[in-house]
Amino acid sequence: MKTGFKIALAVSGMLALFSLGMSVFQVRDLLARVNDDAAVEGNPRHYALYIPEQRDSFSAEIRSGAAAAAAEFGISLSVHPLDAEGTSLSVAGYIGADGLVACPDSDSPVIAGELERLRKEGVLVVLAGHNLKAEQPWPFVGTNSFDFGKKAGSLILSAGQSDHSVAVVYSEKSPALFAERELVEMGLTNALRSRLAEPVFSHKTDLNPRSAERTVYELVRSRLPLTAVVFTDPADTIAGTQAIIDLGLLAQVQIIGCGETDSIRDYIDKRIISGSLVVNTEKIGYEAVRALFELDAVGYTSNSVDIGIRVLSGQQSRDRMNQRGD
Amino acid sequence: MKKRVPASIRLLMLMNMFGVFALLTVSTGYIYYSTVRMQEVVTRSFDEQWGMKDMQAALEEFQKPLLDYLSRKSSSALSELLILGQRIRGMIPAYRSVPSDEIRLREMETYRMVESYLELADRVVAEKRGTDISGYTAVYDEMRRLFAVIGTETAAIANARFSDQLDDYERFISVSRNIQLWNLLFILFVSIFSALLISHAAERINKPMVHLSGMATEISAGHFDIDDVRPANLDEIDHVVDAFNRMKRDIRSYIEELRWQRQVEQEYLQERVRNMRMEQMIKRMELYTLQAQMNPHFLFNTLNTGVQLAIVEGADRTGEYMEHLAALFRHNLRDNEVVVPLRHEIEGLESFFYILGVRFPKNLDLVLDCPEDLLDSCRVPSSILQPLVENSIVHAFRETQERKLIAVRASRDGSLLCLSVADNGAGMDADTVARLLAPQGQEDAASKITGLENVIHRLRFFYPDDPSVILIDSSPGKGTEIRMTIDTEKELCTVY
Repeated sequence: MKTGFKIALAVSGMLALFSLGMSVFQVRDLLARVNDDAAVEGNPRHYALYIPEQRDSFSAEIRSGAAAAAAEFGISLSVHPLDAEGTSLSVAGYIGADGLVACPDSDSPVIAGELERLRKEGVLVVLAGHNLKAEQPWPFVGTNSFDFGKKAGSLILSAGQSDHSVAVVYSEKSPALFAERELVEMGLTNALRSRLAEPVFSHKTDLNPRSAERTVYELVRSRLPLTAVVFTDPADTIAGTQAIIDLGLLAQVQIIGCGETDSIRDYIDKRIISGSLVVNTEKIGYEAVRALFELDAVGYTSNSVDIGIRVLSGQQSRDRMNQRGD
Repeated sequence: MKKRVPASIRLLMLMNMFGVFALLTVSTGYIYYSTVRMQEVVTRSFDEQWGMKDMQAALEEFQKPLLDYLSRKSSSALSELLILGQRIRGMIPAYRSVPSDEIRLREMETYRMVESYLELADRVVAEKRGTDISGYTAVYDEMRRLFAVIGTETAAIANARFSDQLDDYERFISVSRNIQLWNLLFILFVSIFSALLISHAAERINKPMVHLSGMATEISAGHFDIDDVRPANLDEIDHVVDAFNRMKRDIRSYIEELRWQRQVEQEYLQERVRNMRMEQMIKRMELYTLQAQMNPHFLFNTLNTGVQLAIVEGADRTGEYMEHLAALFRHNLRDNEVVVPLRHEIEGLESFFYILGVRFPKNLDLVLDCPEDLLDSCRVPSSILQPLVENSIVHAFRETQERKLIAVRASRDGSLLCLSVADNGAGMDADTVARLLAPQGQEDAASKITGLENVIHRLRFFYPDDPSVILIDSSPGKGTEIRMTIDTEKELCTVY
């Protein structure tokens, strides 16, 4: 009885202490979490990223790359929507940022004016994958659009046909290529030369991921015989390819895609798409912040940073499958 | 063995009361503390948002005096503008570094815009004073645009923070539920612990009282040999226990003393009865002696005259007989000494034997066997042999016609003197022997005492601690032997 009583006393005491300990631990954990949130170390520099309001893959990848660079260089990066009226950009000088990266998706004179005003105010500006005429002396980070056209032409030539009738489908989802569409077409022409049956013609899709489907129908109706279609956006590539399959034009229309998604790789593996040009948009965001950091730190940076274009062809796909032993 | 420190009931109760009170206070205090801290967490999450809201309200308030001043150049509006501007500047937190958190970064940018807005306000006032109309108008336009963006940003931050807080709130609710659960368990176990402590204290007080109650029952039943009640290490109870144990011991010793006194009294009464019987016996012995000594001097003188007459007449044998008879009388008339040398008894017995030989010349054989060295070295109570021989003559041979034998023998075994008187008479049955050897006082005081009884009583009187001082070996038709064993080194008891 006496031993049982002592055991009960000891057990209840220990359980009480254990409960108290657990409660104290939970309270401390809660307070520590709040304090940790409040005590997150800040950064010495502050950059602002202005990207189009639309939340498409281009903006998301730019933002992701820029955030990675900001984290790497110890910079606080704020992201602002870039509207065509330039409202947000008009107050960029008041937010206290040490520099900004802008990705204007339209050739808006308002935006150009605001950027010019900021430059005059001494705000450091880097443009990335923009739609503006590159007449201003702003550092530029993006792809070489001429090279894009040239590589697309090379893929078309690999099919071995003689007379080509080529259409390029630009997109608001890839504003950089659209901004330099002349360079794209010059590259194409340069690659195809005399094998081009008629001048390269173009179409533009909007931000709707399925808008390429309608564009392909329009192209087929108005431009037959069409021998090759070059897409400049991954979503357009998938939607446009599906439309060509639906129209039964796979045998006569060669498809040059853009981007690297599972669907696109699958199309390449099945030889529906001849090849795809992969632009690393995330790297554009990364390089833009890195260029701004360099400009901020040492006062100068490269005027133009070419991110490069990678070709994802059927041959590469086959090589990859051979490596996997398929 | 560990010795416990005694404490009083009051101290024990106070300690338990304060212990339980302290436990409950600590547990309740802790729960209050944890609740307050959780409320702080919730409040802190809204603090920043309240700061933004207050600043937005202040900016809204700022618009009216600004417009008033620009419209009318009112000094009161300017004064109000300056005061509000100062107040708004006081609301802007100081940033030591640029936050990396997205919402806080946007918040910092908004505060920077507010600072810029106030600087623009200073500019617009200055240009108004300088009547630079186009200048202050342009700046005012800029301010309006900036004010609109600040409002938009403030709302966007509130939305973002609200969205962020939804996740935080979910985590907070989860953690706070856990805290409440552990607090509940804590209170539960502390209550059990406190209840056990109180129970322990009550048991500690109650147990000795129950023991005391049991002991009281035992003592009331007359059981005083039970063990003492153990101390309870509580002063008040220990005092009671101590008094109780002392009382129990005192009662036990008192009762033992009463028993001893009672025993002593009984022994005293027994001794007194014995003395009374002894006195009675002595009176009877004196009566016997008187009976035996009836006018002895007259008889002694007459016998002496007879002896002289026998000598004168030349009757030698008669003269010798008369001489032994006179010697026997003279022996019996000697000083009434209690203890005499064995010689005295033997000489008296020799005269008696001579007389008996004359009386019973044909059919009585008398044997007297006593070593010479015992006669002077041993002392015996007087008149213990002759009555026994006389008893044999009177009772043993009353109805027998056979040749009679009486043998008296003496021997020594260490300090013990052994005397025996044996006859070959009728003998006695066991009842008679038992009656004779029975303790004194059983016989009728008025009955006539025999010589054997006289000897038995006297030896028993002289040697009260030795029941074997005289033994009778007898059976009907087989004769009787009376054996006396006297410790010659032992003093006779002559005190009643």
